[in-house]
Amino acid sequence: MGAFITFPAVLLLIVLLAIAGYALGRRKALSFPAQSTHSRPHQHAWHVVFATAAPSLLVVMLWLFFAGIASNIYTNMVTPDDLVDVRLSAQAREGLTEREIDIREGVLRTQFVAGVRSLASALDGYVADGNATEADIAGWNAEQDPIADRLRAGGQVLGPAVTNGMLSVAQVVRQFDRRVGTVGPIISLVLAIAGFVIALRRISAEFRARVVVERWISGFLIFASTMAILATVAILAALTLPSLSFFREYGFFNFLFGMAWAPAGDVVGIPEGRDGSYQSALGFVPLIWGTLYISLVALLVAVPLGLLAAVYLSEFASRRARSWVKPALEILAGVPTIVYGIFALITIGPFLQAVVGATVMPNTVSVMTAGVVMGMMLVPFISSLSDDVINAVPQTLRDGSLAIGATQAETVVQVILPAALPGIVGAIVLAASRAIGETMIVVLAAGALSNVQGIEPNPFGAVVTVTTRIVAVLTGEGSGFDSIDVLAVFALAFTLFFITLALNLLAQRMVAKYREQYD
Amino acid sequence: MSDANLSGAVPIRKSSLLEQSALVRKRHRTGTILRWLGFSAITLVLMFLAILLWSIVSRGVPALFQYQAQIELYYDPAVLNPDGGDVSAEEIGTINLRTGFERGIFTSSLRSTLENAGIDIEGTVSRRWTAEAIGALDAAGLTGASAIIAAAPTPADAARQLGQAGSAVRAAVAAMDGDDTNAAITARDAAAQALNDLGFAQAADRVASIDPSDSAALAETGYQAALTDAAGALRQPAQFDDAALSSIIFATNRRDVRDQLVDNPDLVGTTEKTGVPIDISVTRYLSGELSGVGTAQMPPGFDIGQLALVDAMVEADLISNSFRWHFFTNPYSQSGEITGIGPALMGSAYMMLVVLVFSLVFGVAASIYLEEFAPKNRFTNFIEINIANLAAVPSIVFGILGAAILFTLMDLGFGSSIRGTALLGGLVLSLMTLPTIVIATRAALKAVPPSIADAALGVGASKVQMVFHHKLPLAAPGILTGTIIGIAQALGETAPLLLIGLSVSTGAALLSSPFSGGLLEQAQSMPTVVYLLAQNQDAPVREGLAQSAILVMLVLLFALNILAIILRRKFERRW
Amino acid sequence: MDDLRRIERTTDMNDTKISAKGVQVYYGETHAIKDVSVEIGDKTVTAFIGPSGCGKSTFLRCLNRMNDTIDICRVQGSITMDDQDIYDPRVDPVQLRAKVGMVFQKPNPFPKSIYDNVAYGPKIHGLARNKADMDGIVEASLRRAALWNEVKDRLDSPGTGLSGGQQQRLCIARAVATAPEVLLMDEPCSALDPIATAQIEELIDELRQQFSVVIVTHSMQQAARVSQKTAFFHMGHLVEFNDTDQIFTNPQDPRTESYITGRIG
Repeated sequence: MGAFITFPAVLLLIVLLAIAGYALGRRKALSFPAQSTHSRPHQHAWHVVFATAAPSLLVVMLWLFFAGIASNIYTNMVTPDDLVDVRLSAQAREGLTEREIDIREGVLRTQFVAGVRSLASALDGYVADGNATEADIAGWNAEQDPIADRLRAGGQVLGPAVTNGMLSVAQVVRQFDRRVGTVGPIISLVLAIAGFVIALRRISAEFRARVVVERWISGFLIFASTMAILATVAILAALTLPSLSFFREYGFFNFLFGMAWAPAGDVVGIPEGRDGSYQSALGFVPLIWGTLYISLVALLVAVPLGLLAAVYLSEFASRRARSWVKPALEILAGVPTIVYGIFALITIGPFLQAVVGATVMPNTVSVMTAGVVMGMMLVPFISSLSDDVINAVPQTLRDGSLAIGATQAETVVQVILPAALPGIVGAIVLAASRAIGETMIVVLAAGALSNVQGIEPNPFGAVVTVTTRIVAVLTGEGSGFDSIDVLAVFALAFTLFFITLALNLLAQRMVAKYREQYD
Repeated sequence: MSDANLSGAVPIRKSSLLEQSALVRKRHRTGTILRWLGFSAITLVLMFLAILLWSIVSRGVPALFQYQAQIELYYDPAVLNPDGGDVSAEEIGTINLRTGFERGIFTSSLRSTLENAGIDIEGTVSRRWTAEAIGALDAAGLTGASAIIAAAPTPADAARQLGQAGSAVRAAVAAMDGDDTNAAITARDAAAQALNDLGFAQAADRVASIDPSDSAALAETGYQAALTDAAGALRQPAQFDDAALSSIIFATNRRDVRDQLVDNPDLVGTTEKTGVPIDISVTRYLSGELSGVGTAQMPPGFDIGQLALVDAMVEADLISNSFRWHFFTNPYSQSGEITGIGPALMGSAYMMLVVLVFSLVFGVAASIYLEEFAPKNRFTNFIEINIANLAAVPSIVFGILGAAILFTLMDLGFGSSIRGTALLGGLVLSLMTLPTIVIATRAALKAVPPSIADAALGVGASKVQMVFHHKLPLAAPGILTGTIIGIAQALGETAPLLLIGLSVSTGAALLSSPFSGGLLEQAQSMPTVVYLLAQNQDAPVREGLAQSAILVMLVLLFALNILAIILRRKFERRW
Repeated sequence: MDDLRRIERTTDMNDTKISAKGVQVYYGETHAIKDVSVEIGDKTVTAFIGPSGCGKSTFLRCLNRMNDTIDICRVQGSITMDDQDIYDPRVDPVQLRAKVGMVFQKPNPFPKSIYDNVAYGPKIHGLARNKADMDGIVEASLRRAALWNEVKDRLDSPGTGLSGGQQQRLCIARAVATAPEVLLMDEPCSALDPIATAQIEELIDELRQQFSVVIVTHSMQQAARVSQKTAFFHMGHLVEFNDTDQIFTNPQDPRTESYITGRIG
């Protein structure tokens, strides 16, 4: 029977049950004399649907998620400590401290567990495809049979080479997975049936189905609105936990004031140097320098252009001109940043190099390349925010100034802009936060050195930024949390998050205050 | 009101309204400057936009066309099965891509196609190189070289003679640099003699007349460089082997051809007239990008023998330029000749589907709660702050969140197969899109006048009924518009997808079938493929095909935005 | 003209300052002012009264060309000030507005200090040669607006921090600081409480010594209290223009009478 109780089959059953529940609930409700019912028949029907599907589907989802975790823990439990796969050889142990041995064996164990799990799923797939029977597999011997080749030929994806240790543990784990994979669907199915029966039996002329249904709906609405909090909490947790372990390992101040960034691939917990320090130099200063330098250039481009554009559009341009220019600016704002990055790389960079010469600008990637293009990207952002802010300045102030005999320009410069200043500064702060967090432009156009020492003062020189490093380390086959360099990247993101968060809160407060003033 | 008794503090001027005072003229000038500054700022920004779009279109559109060599492709059983006899599908599957396909089928087919078209391969190549050698000699003033080369028994002999003369000149320069005048004179005369022996009498006289201490004058003649270059050029045709021939076309790693043969072993022994893409570097020559560039300035890897053959093929009408349809179906590949965005389009579509379902359901539900049901308390206030902040969190932070979830799940035993799946990518993008949709939905709900709500409640609807039956349908166009704009943003987001591994998912499964994949399989996406194309080693891919992919992406984005605008126009309601 | 002169009793300076003839104003398709002719005397307070939407404010805004700032607004007919056509293409509205100041319905001090609010006009028009000059102008203007005693100790505090009545007087000070010849007031008291209104009304009477004042008001009592001449507008037409006493005691037109007695409005 186990073979039939799978999650897809159970999902189908739950859906069918819910549909049946709708039909039956409706029929039962329709059989009441109409005057005596509190709720309409379809509300009774929905009540049955919710009671049938909601708890059981929730269990399915949770089970799918936690079954993987449980299986992993189980694999770890059944892996014997003395298994040759998870022990360092005597030769490898030489010259290592207890702690270092522990850490390295921990890494071996993690790899072993991952290998077992991929082997287990490969074996499942191999059997399911009909390439072998369980009995065949029980007779396999990793030392003689080319198991990995055999499985790969069968179209299975596999990790490292297969050992007998892996094979035996994998068999135990498969047993466990089968059991877990059967119990979960049964529980959800039982829940569905129970919900179905109870809900149907509750239907009566007096039963307030509408209230119950609306309670289900409200519950979902509240759950949905906590998503924002969940997301923030998840981000905070994702950034804080690895960052804290990085700070503990490497030292907070070593990171914050370090003048060099040169990751060397050190493993967490095992400093490679004799004095207990890491070979990796993971200093924040050169990276934040690059980030701030580019952001500064970008703002120097974007703020004057954006402000002038906003002033022109809101105070001088004809209605026709506005109706053409505004959508054009919106196009500029809608272009994905990677497009800007590539444009900077292949058009702006070579152009700048041709203008200033190769001695000043050895590479086409540089602070200016990224900064100028990022500035252009920010222009519509600043101009549309400023435009809103300028338009929020009451007309009476304009009239007051014009009625004294001020020219349009004097009104703008001496009355409107000062009045709109808090809002404009808020817009600029938001733009700065964007510039600091911008990724694709700098990844493509700022430089891609992996080792940097100190700061680069030349605006036409290549720099490395916080976001560039994050992308460089986490793109590709990042292996998880076991490398100090990966942890360092989380610390970078942590700092980046708090810088932008502070800027955003500041900007929000400024804009809110400004709005209060004229509301 | 005795304060007012202060007449005279402000003198009243009597002046005509009809003439502008100097001060007013100056003030207006200042105003004009501001106006012009604003105008120029906008012009500058619009010019930037125009250049941006032009650089994409002007590079991306031509790159959508591909030069192809029309070849009689002969699936030679002798190559496919050196032992003779039939070859089975399994055997074909094991044939070495490099020797069996590239060196074998493609080279021999190209050779026979060219020969059938009446092109003398060796002759064409050596003629071009000979012309190159003569050109080099002529440029240095060593006239009459063609007769000398023709007189030599073989080009190799001519190369040797020229090389020897070159060495003699070099030795002379070295000797004249030294202190020994006699040695210098001897070496100079030897060089002159060598030139004379070859038949460059004029040059020989010139060398003989140079002051023995003036090595610079001899170096300035350029004879040595010309002779060495010419010798080198004459030696080239002998090195023009099968590899050089086959590298004109895209014959490397033709897994696709092998798969085709495995599926259809009957093809072995047959001939098929087919278009084979021209090598991506040679494409630059064909597109005229390198016209007017001297041999010395050619990018590395260019062999002018190949170019001579290409010219001959163009003349024989063997090269066509056709639309690159396969760009829209093929998966991403390092090789520009066969790369494509098929799975990337599919992957992006899958992810947008996830974004649509997830962020629309949760976004609308959250907005309804916050706008209609939530009590004004600390908790809802906290939610509001969270949403406002999520909207401004840099996208890379969402990527980091995705990476952290990925690593955690991998640690928890989900295996590395979840890396780069469309589901994970879609969920991360959904979180980013959520605030956009919440803000749009709340604005749309707010815009529905309270009178509608009062009317519904007034006839005895419950609050839930009022919201779902009346407010939501009326707010739907606004919600839809906001959703489309949110999805358009998500479509172009790159950084978060890079961090959860979409750029590395170019697995074998994807290579074998362009439209494979689902929510739980490793996916590619438009922005990450654009990123990969932009990092490709070949300039034509970086500057051409990357722009084509951007063009496709921008067309999709504009289509989405125009859809949003149309919806807004069509359903816009003023209360 | 001669007739008008004869019936003016309360003013001693009776020269015509502004003369409007056949003025038509259109807002796009809407015909807002229909053939209005009026003469505004120097050193006189002229009140425009009428029901809302009758065009009195629109007409007022024609007198210093504030309507120029509205794209769709067209003005026809002739308006002269000291016999110079203010809609002549050679006339710069900037210069005109320096001579014809305006105070608005809602007090609109700039978000600057009290001092800077008043100094703004003189500064842009180049009326002060140095700081001492400017101080003099600011003080004189504030005194003229009867605000000096209340604010002399806090000239650097923001103008927006004053009470409504004070803000309006600040706006009057700002307007008189450019040494205008005519002062236009668009319902200057409608946003103020009765005490502040009384102060402003008293101030208007003082200002008459030096300026020609035109005030738009929806309050007939106010018109009766402060003005010497009154013009009644109705649906874009100037129905009646006469001495204030005459208008209120002996209206010539039945519509004026209906309005004054409260039957329309």
